[in-house]
Amino acid sequence: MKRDPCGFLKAEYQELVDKSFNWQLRTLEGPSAPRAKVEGRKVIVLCSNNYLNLSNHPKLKEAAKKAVDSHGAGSGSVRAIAGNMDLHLQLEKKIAEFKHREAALYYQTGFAANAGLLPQLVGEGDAVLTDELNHGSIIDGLRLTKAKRAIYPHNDLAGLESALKQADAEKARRIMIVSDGVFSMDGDLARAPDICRLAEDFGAMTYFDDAHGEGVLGGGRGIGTHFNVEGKIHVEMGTFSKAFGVVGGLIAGSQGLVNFAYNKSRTWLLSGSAPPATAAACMAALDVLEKEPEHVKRLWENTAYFKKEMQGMGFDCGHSETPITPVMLGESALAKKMSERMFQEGVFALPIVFPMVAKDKARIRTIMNAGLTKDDLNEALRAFEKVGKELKAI
Amino acid sequence: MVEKENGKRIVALVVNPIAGMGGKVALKGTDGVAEEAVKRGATPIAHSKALHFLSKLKELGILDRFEWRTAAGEMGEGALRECGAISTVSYSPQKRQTTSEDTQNASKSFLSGGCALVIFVGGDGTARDVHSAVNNKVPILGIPSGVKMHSGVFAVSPEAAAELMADWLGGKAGAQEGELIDLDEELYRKGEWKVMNFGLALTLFEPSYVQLGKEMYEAASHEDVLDGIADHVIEALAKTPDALVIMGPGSTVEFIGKKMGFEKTLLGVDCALGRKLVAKDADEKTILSLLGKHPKAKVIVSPIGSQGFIFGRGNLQLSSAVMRLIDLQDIIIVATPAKLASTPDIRVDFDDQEVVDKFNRKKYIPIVAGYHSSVMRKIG
Ligand SMILES: Cc1ncc(COP(=O)(O)O)c(C=O)c1O
Repeated sequence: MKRDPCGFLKAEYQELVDKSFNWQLRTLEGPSAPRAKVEGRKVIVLCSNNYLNLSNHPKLKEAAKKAVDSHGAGSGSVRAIAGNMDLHLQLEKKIAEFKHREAALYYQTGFAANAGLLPQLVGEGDAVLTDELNHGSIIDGLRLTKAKRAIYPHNDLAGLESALKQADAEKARRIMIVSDGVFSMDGDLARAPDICRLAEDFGAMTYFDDAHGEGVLGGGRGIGTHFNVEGKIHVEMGTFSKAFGVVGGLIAGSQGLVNFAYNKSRTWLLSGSAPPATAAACMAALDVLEKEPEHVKRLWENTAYFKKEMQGMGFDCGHSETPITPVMLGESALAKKMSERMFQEGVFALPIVFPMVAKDKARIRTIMNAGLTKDDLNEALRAFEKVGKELKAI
Repeated sequence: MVEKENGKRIVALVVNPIAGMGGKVALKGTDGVAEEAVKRGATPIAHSKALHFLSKLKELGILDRFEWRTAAGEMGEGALRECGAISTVSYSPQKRQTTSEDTQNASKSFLSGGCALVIFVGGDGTARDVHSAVNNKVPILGIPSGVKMHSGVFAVSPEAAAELMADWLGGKAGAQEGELIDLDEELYRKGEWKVMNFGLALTLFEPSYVQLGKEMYEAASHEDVLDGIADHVIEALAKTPDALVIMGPGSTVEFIGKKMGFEKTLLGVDCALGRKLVAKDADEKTILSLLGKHPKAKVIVSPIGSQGFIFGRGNLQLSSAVMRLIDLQDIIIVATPAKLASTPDIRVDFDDQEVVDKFNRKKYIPIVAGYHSSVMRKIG
């Protein structure tokens, strides 16, 4: 038999297309901003993770430019060999201060932090308990460990407790609980204080992925500050790619954690370090957050206004507790149609459909932005009302 | 909708008196083997399922919101009378031992009297009989009492059927098509799995919620996932090498059995000791006697997709009497993430409430879904 070495590429792609599971990418022509140019149209963006509109902040841009001038375009190596720059260390010191923790470590991305660190924290003979709706980077990280994984029902403390008891009965050497801080499909929060309390009872380690909480919750410091459990979370993981407006992953916790993490995370050890401009812009983002609290404040004001108006029109906005506001529509086809019509009306909001969510829970997921003005919001709301009525969603 | 001036809805009830009798005696279904089942010591269960259903209607206060049509004696009239409901008998079977024609003829008689829904107590075979007579003119609703209930026209329990009726009265449940599935019973009893789809039947539908989570992004192939599950189970069993291993039906357990080196039957309950098969397609009696000699035992089962039953459907040999002897710690439940995605809750069904409670008290139960990977699911 003669092999067709790459035949599967076309076949499997076609399979995705046939099921409408393929991604259709939209292109931004210019910066990511609350009103951005997307495929020739100026639209209100309700689906970026740039919560605080920092990606275009003059101080971040300035810091990036300066770092290019002083340190060049690239870092030249992995951190462990010759790519460890003073900028990286300064950033890590700043992260630790910002998060009120002893130490911090900067990774190339949040995905790299989860995929690199999680499999090192538990191993043979250990148990790791993970929320069923955790992010894919956690799932992938945990696939690399020899520890026993127990997936508990979403935010279900009784379910978590039974899993803890089970791990305890099986005499697990170490137990770790991993949860998203903010769940990105529904915008609900992990019950962090209860999780920490249960963890304490069983001597378990806690790991929170706060990708959607940093810059948003606790005045921007994240879920630990929000719930006042800063010291009880053993590993706070996050990203600079969302509210902070740049790119890169982070972990914060004890010095012991950081020493362990950078000596063992393969994604950190074996992949080139972040370019100087990125590290500098991240630092500037933290600086802006500390000096200009108005961004976080405006994000929450906008969120409250938008949610109230949407619900007033009769939309079902789920049970979100954050600036992620799902607009529940039920059927996938309706969500897709609604998103398409909204785009024609000048609002960019993505449908989230099966298989990302259950078949009868299709929705448009909106993400609020601090940079949207009242006029922008009113315009978006009018479009939702018009299209909602047209498609009989309200 | 057929509704009387007094506001009552006309509905019909037909009971297949011998449905479900094959299970405990390791016959798969009672089509054409009722006598054999009785000989092997089977007792009727359909009547009590009908009573559970009617009592629940009474408890919900809606039993007399319906005008009942039924068939004589054990085919429905008896159960209705026991629950104090007034009914009109529109069909009487010729002989004491009822057959599939009786179910069909009774169903036909309901239609000519004009009714809005036909409720039946039985299994997949009964569903087919009712459907062939009713032919989608009105919806049908199954109260599970058979050995095989794969069709999409069954409520998950007699009580759930009653609740569905309440939703129907309240306008919250409507008619929708469900698949009619049955196995070739002749082949099934020989251990061959030949599922046939007998088309779509109208049934009452309660909107169900299926949360998939993100595990579905797992790229592993079905075979790899099964392999992982099997490795996990084999590793767990190795800790108690002298335990009796009782393996339930289904392709997941079959795969595990094969990996352990057995010719596991697809649909039967097989038992092994020290890596050697000691009983193939065992009935309740055989299992009990093995347990008498080897009280230390492990049970491996897999839930029925979407309905979520781990006991009480398709494995009636693993009866309350058997399960009373088994510690919950010694039950290993296995399922692929794909199956779990469409199976929100895990359930059990036993004729002994004490055994049911033993499971329900646990509230959550781990299901092995891969090598060293388990999913905590609600039970009950
Ligand atoms: C919960 C969560 N964790 C991790 C990540 C990955 O972060 P990054 O974009 O920095 O790779 C994301 C999103 O991308 C996320 O939503």
